[in-house]
Amino acid sequence: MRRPKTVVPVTSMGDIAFLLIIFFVICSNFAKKAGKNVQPPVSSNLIVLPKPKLYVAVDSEHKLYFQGRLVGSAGEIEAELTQLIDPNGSVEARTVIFECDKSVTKDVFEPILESIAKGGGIIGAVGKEGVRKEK
Amino acid sequence: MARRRRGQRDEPVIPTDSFCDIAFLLIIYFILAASLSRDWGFNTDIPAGQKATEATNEKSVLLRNDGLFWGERNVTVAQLRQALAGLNLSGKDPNSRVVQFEAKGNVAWQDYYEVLAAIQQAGGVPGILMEAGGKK
Repeated sequence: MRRPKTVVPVTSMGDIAFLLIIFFVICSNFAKKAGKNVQPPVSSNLIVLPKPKLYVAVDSEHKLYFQGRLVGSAGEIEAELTQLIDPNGSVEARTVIFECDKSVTKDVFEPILESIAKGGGIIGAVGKEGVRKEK
Repeated sequence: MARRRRGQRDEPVIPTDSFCDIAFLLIIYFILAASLSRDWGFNTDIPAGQKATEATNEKSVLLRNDGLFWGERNVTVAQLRQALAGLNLSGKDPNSRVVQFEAKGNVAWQDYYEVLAAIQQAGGVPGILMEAGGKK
């Protein structure tokens, strides 16, 4: 006697999975990183930084990015941060992730650090855990 | 065996079984990509807009192209960490935790970062002295 073929209904599984994808896409913060030629400095005892809401980057060609888009000067960053940051806000809300290439020199990064501080931000300086080899 | 009547066509069926496999792979990708990308570093709240005339020798760090100085003494980053740890800064009130830090010449972010990290991790607050007429 032939048994009836067992069929598991999987069509609705696909629907559920796609709904989950839509949920993840909507809820996630899209990376605002410039992601170009940034080699972070190496140091020890680093901690995990909070998820970035405000993001400043300087790449190896000294190009300055704010929230992933190219900006002209540190002054522009200060002006934007002043509008975005509540000085009485929590540490996490005030943290500005600062990712800078390790070869960038002081005349470039120091005015940016100053503008983040003046804009009311707490600097979350990105680095790479490790021991420096050279020097 | 069921016989097909003349002129009767099979109902067209789009195979959707593999859709859920693809969807679940995408979910796994999103979950992993979201949780793995984490930034490491340190948080530092630099006091802004305060005027400092000159660095005092007490609790002051100077970084130049030719080396790192703790007061008058030429030190390595490891020695600076030891010296700062000896001050027990984390147990002090906020005003006494300020460590003056000045960089002269065109030092790289790597050197600057290590000093900032050392001050921050010792419980200090870096009071950055900027050279007069610095670019903005």
